[in-house]
Amino acid sequence: MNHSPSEVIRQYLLDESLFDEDLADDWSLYVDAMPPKPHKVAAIYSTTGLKDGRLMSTGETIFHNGFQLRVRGINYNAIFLKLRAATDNLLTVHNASVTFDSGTYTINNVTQAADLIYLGLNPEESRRMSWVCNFLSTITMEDEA
Amino acid sequence: MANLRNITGLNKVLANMKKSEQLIGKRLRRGLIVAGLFLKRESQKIVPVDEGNLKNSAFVRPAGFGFHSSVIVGYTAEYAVYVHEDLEAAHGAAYNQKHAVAIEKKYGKGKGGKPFKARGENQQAKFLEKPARENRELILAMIAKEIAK
Repeated sequence: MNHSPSEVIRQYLLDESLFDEDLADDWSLYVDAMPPKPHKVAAIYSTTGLKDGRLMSTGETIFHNGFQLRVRGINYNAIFLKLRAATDNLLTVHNASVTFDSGTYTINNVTQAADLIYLGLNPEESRRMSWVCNFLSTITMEDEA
Repeated sequence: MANLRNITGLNKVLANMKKSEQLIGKRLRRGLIVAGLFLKRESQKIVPVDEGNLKNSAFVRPAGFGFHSSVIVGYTAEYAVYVHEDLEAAHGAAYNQKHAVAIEKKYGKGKGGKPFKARGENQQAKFLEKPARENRELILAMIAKEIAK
């Protein structure tokens, strides 16, 4: 794979128009980091995955990539609804094809690892708060241009 | 052709099965506790420590008996979820680097020129989920081993 699973998931969420592609706008989506501004942003972080054994027919090891989706903002309910919408969409993924840069990836499935978690107000920035949700996904690369 | 008309000793077989079921149930519970203690230990190696409240709040709590046994591993500190899920926060080596001046100013230098109260370099968020996922096979093997004893 030429891209991290988080990048593939980001591209999928952008394709689904759940977040804004322009990083200067509200509800833009980042990978593994969040900028101090604007208030309303989301980020996908790579987390520990899960090795799930090998397929007997091909010998291929199935590995589920872990990722966390974090949504930050200043309106409690708006953040929750944004994360809820993204979560609901991710849970419908079934062999979704994602193409970007030089590769085509298939997101075979996405599993929600736990419920949505409210992280409270950011201790360094009292107005902002975050909701997070953790997932496991299976992603395969289809071809390389 | 053999004609089976009468079976004897069925009650004994059933009694033995019941006895072994109880025995395996006990072993399963023991295996879960052993695995829970192992996971807690692995988690303690990487849990972020400031004053030690979070690390000291770790618990392994068995519930139920026999085949209905379960073991919960967790932390009772109220902010445990926040620390666990906040992947933006600096822990361990990143914390030491970020706050090097402040730590040295407050606590001075220790042995080897390192700040006296530098944090363990492996400390990080996801301190429970990470060892659980990384050691999944080992944890399952531990439970299986206890059952087979």
